[in-house]
Amino acid sequence: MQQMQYIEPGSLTEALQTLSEHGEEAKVLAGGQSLLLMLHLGLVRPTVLVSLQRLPDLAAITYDQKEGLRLGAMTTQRAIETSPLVRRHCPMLARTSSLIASVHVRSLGTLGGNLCHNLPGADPPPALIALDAMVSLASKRGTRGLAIADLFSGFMETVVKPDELLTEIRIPAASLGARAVYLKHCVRSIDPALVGVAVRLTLADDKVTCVDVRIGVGGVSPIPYRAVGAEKILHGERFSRGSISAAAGAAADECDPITDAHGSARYRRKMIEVFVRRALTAVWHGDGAAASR
Amino acid sequence: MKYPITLRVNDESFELLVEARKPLLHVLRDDLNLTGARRGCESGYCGACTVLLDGQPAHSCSVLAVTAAGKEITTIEGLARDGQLHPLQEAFISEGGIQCGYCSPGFILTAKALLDAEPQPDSSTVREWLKGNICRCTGYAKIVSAVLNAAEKMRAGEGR
Amino acid sequence: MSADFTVVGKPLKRVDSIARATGRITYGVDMKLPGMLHGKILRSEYPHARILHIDYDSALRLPGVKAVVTGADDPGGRFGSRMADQAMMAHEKVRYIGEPMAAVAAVDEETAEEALSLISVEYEPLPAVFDPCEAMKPGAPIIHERMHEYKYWEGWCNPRPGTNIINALVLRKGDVERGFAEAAVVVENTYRTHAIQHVSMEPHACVVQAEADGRVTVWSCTQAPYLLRGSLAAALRIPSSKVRVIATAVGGGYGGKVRLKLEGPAALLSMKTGRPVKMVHTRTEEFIGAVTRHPSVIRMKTGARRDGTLLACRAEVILDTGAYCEAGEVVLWEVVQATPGPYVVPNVWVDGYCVYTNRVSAGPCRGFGWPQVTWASEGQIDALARELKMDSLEIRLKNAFDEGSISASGEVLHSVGFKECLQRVAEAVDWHGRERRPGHGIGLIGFTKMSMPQTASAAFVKLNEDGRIGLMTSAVDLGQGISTALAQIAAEEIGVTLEDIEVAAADTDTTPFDSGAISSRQTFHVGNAVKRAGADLKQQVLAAAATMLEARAEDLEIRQGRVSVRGVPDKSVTLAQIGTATQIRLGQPILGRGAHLDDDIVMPDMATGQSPKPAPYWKYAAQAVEVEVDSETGKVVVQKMVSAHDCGRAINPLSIEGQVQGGAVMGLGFALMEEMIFDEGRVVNPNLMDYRVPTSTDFPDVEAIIVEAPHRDGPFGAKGVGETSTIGAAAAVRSAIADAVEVIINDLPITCEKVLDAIEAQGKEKGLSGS
Repeated sequence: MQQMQYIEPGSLTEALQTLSEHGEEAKVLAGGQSLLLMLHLGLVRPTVLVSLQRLPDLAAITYDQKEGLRLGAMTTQRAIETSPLVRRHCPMLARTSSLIASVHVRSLGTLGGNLCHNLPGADPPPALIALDAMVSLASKRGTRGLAIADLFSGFMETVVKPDELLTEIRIPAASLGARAVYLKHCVRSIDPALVGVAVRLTLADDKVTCVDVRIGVGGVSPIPYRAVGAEKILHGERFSRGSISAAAGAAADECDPITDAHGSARYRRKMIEVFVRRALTAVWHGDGAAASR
Repeated sequence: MKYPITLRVNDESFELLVEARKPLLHVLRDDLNLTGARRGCESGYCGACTVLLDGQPAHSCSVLAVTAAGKEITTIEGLARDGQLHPLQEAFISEGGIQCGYCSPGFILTAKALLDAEPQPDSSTVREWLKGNICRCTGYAKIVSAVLNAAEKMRAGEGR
Repeated sequence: MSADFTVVGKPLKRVDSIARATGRITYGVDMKLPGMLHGKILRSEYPHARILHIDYDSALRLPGVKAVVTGADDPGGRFGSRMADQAMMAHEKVRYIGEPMAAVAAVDEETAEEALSLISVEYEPLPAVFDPCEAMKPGAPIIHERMHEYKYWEGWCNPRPGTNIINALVLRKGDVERGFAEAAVVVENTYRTHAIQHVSMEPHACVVQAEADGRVTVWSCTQAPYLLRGSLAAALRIPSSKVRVIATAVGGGYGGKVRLKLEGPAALLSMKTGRPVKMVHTRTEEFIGAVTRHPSVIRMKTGARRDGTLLACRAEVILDTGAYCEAGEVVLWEVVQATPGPYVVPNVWVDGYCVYTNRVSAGPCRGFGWPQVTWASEGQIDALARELKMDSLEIRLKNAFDEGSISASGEVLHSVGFKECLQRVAEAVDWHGRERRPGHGIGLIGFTKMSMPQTASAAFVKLNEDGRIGLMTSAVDLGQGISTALAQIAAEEIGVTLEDIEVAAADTDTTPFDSGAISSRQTFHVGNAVKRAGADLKQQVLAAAATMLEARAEDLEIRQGRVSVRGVPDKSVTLAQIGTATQIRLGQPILGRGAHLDDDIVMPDMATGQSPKPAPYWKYAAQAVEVEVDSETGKVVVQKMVSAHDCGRAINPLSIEGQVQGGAVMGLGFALMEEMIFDEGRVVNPNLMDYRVPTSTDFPDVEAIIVEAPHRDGPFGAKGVGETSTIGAAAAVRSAIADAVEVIINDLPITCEKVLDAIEAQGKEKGLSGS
């Protein structure tokens, strides 16, 4: 059996140094809620584990009027769910975190780990897409920022390079305080989303004209995405049952759904239409941070 | 590779040499003979392996032992004190919340974490907290009533 | 009724609950022996293939590996329930993906696992068949070419060598064609059910030690120590008493842990190494290498008069038993007897088939074929009710079995609490006064199950020196509470309290024969044996006391740990005194013996399926489910469930409620969320993320209702109840959905997609017809 080395860097610099040395043969250990399953099934066989346990700075949640909400990659889902800062400034995100798996998983599972694992049906990605979140990837070579939607590149794949570490997720100030909702369709509440739709909406003062809308979709395909076609239909237009319907229809048309043990592609396509419609309706009627199944 | 670690389990310290890849579940069961944390799915879904880490419920199959150093670990064996059962254990017994018992330690520990955080939960909060533990025998009804029953007794100051 | 008893009928705390609540109990998975090795199994990658060559030299050379065994090391004895068609490992060919082909013993699990990857197998793939209807057609690949060699029990099996049909049985009563001709309405449908897995929280596990003298000692979380012993002895071709099975605690069984699985390969490895060998299934292996529920295809045609009186039922029942029958032959035997359901039907024609396919074996799974036939038979009753515009409850009450009714197989029925079950459930959901709301519906159904015949139980009870009673049976407490129930029966019979009884664990060297925790039979069978043993002990106690007190035995009574002369409490002696005296100097140690055999069973005539007494007893139940259906997503949310059970006599009401609630939720899982998904014989979702077991937030608390129609042959009138609540849930859910959104689903599982498709199809139909 291959020997596995366990390294616990004491600073971010040390962590990045370690990753640059071991790169391909290493795996980053955050909360372990995804990684340990992969190890158990033999789906990954790292010879080095780089653990982020001793980097408490990576678990900070801060708010700034100009910069917005910053969440360290090691922030647990439970911390996001219960954080007074998140509940106040971005209640939709707190609610989204509360829908993930169970208290057990959320107590240890981190936002960064969730994003880097990119399991279809994960809840944070569509929510963060709708919130226009930015992620920071750090390495010895420097730091780069990405729009969240650009992080995901394939089935359980991200663009994070072997020597890189996702350090932070930032939700811009402009996204906070807007109407936002995340709806999750699943058979059991503990399941990944069959279809997960997040919407963030800015209406004009007339409360009917759409100034800006973002629609994030997860669970449907290997890569969580923005339903751009649906967004285009609404942008600058008046909200109505008709325009919502049209947008939902466009979302269904533009999707490329998978079939798996939880549902067929055909069913998912129908559900995108239903849940984009429901999410747009909910957010238009000011159901705020409501998220229901 | 093996690493020397100190684990605090049920208020006792243990000096151990453990493989990096070994989950906490296996160290508890094989090295410390604490078999109350169970092998159910070993993939983070069934909750039979639940222990408390610093008072929070965790699937010990999804925690590497080396990362558990420095945390207070509570297993079911640490609940009864001086031969006296914890009110949750009493309630699970009296309410019929235990059938085959395989999942029971996990449920009891999760319930303890819940009642420590929220002494007066309603039944839907209880159900929410318990969904990380699967029971195949009871259909959950008597487990939920056991937790509510224990909550009441603990508020009334009975037991500990 | 229950008020007449002091111990029986009381919701007493279980005798073993402290051990379970503190975690200080040893399940199969927890067993450890010094010097123990760990075993792992190499499993077939093909659904049907000849094994040309297995090369395990590299595996043997891996440091830490102590032995490898294959089919070549297996003595090849066959075992089974009523049909012996299986060896412990594959010989010559493999019949399903996951079939054991080799096993490795090593110093730890990781090494054993690594060794598996070093074993190379050369296969010659054969054509495979995955659908039982296809498997029945001429020209289908033959899965068991040696069927003609298989031994089986007379009266249970009618195999057809040269085909994939391992059992073909019939039921014939009256004249169905005439019945249909007289009928005002006839409904005909095809029903399909799917495979689910037991998902016991504890996986299969055992430790086996081959002794130097040829004996084999097995510690196993088995449901049936003597059945395991019998199958292991048969597999190893050694006498049964050379195998000793010691039952560990069991973390859930539900029918999955009845017969040999890991114990065979572990025994061979122990024989080869001389060391104890432990084997534990991973969760994946639980899905691919244990047993599943029998998928089924059932075609049923039912006719009734205008007033709802049932006249005729014709059915074809096809059970897919997978690669080995694993009691599938018995499942078929049972369900053929009451395929139309618990209703009086004068004309019945049933053809039943148990068919092999190249998938993981289907075996005993809580409900044992009755969930499948109930899915069909209750669907028929619902269909008739719709055609006749009759109330669901009314049509059932009209035809329901009652005390003295004649069954489809010709039995005059006794202990039939069915109507009361229907009425109590109707009351609990306010059936007649219920509000009708769009998207909401309630379904109400009824069903039955037999306990299988030709099983046996024996019991010993001994009087200890301290006056407490030792209870020795091979009953296995899977969590259903049988240890407590038996202790209650013993206590009641002897005249002591529950706390005075010490229940021993099953050990085939010392505890007497029992057919196991199957078929909801233990309360009835072992209970009777215990009651008789208790009576026997009581007689011996009174005789000894009579000597000690110089009185007549008939003047003595046992009360609160003392035997005294009736009316003269001072003239007494304690049970402890009697226990001590008889161990040392007086007469002989007191040991009560009792047994229960089903000696009045008449096996059905193979040509007609008719018998005046085919089963020790029948259970009856009714269920109602209330649902809300989201018409846009097809998602069904269960709001309420009520489950009423005629258990004869409730020995421990708290245990019975627990069983009912747990079984009902398992039934709801079967209906709405659980499904083993296959692709060309491969299980696609062998894990707990993709196989959806109900959690605490998925279904509401089930309301359990106990109905008592005492059985003259049961201990204190008791029957059994363990399986029953699983049986009807799916049919009740379907009925509720039909009530809510007027769509009928006859293929399980009821997925969101199926419901949505049905709603959309109905919408289109309505659109076309302009309504």
